[in-house]
Amino acid sequence: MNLQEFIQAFEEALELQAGQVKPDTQLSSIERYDSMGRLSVMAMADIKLGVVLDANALDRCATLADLHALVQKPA
Amino acid sequence: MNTTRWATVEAIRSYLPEKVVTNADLSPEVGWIAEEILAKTGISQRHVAGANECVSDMAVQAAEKLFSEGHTDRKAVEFLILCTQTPDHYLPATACLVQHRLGLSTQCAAFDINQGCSGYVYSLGLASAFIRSGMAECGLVLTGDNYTKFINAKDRSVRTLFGDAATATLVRTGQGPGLDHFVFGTDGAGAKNLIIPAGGTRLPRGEQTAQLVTDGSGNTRCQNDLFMDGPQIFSFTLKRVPELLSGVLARSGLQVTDIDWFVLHQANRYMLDHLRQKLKIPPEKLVWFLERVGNTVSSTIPLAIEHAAAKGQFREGQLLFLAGFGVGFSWGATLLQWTHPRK
Repeated sequence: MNLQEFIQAFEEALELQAGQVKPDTQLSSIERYDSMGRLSVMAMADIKLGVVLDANALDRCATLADLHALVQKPA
Repeated sequence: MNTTRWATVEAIRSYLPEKVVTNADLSPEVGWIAEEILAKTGISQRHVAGANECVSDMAVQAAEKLFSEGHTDRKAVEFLILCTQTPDHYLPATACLVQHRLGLSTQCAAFDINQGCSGYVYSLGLASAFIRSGMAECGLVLTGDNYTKFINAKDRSVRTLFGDAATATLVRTGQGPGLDHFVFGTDGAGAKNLIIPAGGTRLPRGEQTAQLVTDGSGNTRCQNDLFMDGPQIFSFTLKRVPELLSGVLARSGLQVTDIDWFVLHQANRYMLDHLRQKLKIPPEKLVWFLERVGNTVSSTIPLAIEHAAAKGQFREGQLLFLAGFGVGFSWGATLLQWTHPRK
């Protein structure tokens, strides 16, 4: 999944408007990226990419681009 | 092990504390409207034990139903396994108090096991071992917890989720395969993710442990309170629950399509629904009982089974897959072949 597709999936998972976030958007600035939001992203990565994200690695991601890089890594 | 000697689940009864806390009750304290709580958790209300209501009180209430309804005579009970993480005392075991209050034989084995979400499966495993080894013919598996007594009123990450309950399961020798193909697992590296840090010998309660701290999500708690890291728990379930199912299928030689019902630990609706999709469980095969009781820890699975059985959902001989997973991290699963109560 390329970065643009990932951002689209992220926006869908968090019920954000299309185009609301960019690769360099700080995750901490996204109100819906709370505890529930993180679960939604983990669920999206699991179902769409077959990737089970480590919660610690997730917390180390600062931007959307970081998150995309994380889901690309082999388990 | 005598392969022709089987342990079966005869009957399950439950007790729910009288006090009910609805989402509307919680809303002013957690800052979410009632509908929001329901949407996030799948829970609309939870039962909360009274201030002086302990696990022994609740467990006795559940177990008495098995006797009053004629499922067994109390003197026939040869073992009592009580699964709880919120015992009446450090010692003696709460099971001993329950043995006395139920008037069970003094020849009865009675002990606690300290497990949470996986606890019902662990307890059934022990009960099955007691019976299949020939040590006993008949016993009780009780579950009971008062997690709500350890939840900070200002911690919405857990306040909306947990409820209190107790259940009593009668396990006895049976004619055919009842409980079989147990799979267990543990990863203590996850211990810190669902924990009450203080109150044991590692960190006794004191002034320091009562200091309130508000985290980045606005949840307030102290070390005497329950702490749960939701994303860590979710990551754990995504990894381990599929292994549980594949493990049980490998042991039994069955396919997932051979299983009639899936009874998973009822943690919250979001997690459960995601697991259903991930494991490719048809929606109609997933047994639900969460909305009106919340996450009752080791009682979630027996409560769900009791509720479904009362609706006539199970047919004689149908296969139920039971899976508990969570605090520890600890996980366990088994197959249960359903038999209608003998009486």
